[in-house]
Amino acid sequence: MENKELVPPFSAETAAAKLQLNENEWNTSDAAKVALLYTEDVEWSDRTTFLTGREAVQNYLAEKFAEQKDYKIRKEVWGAKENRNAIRFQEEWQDADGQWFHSYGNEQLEFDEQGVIRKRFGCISDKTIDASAREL
Amino acid sequence: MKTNQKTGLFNSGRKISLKVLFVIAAVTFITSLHLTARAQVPPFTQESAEAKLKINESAWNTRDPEKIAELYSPDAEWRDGINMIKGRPAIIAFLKAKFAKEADFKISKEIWGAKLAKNAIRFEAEWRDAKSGQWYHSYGVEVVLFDDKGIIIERYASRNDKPIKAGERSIK
Repeated sequence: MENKELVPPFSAETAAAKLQLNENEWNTSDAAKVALLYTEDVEWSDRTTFLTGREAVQNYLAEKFAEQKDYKIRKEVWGAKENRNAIRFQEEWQDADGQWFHSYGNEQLEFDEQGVIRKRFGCISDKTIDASAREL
Repeated sequence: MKTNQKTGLFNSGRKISLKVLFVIAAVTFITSLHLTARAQVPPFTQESAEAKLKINESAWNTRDPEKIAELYSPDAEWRDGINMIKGRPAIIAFLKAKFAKEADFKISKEIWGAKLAKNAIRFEAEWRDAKSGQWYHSYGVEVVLFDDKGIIIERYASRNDKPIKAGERSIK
């Protein structure tokens, strides 16, 4: 199914299909592409940063992807109901000094009627790892 | 004299009965809270999940690891930040270390969604680093899975901490 066809109310299956498309976008590390997953006036948080609007999200992501090199993410739907999803994810990336990280996170999403994310709240915990311990 | 005694007796008798009534009412209220918590089993509605989360939040705000651990099954699986924890004794040990470091810990939790045996929760916490005295306001997201008796068997949580001034605390 096309992304546009995946709209609320979500079943576990449609949420998983939509999340696969979301994960693909995040794995491009292209801030402009990822930002399109969210509405123009999205309410968005990542760690302790709270933002409003797609443009602010895009700027934030551009900085994130510049700092986190070779970024990879894997997402999984924890639960889906009506227009809300709960998601678990794991990321791997390296910083400017070449230190690798494996991060664990949760995010909660709310979609509008067109299936575009209008609220996103994400929290992430980072663990330093050796390059050889990468899994993703 | 007799009348006074009678009156006195009557009065003290009434006082006792009022006290007894108050105790009975209090016990009934507390028991009903516990029963309500226990009665909240999957499948959850927004309302039953909220009622259950209130009990969970109160337990966390006691900062008593033993009490909090009772919310989770004996073999519960946890991820807290980057820590993988399995089983109640490990949870208790983890919480003891946590509350020793995070003084004056207070948490406020809110249901994001509830369906069948799963809940998604947002939370905010405030605490003071026991060593440095620095205050923090933390934002977190947790997801939990309940067994059919309404005990949590899986819990995965991530949290990010923002340093704040003591005067900026907002969780009552």
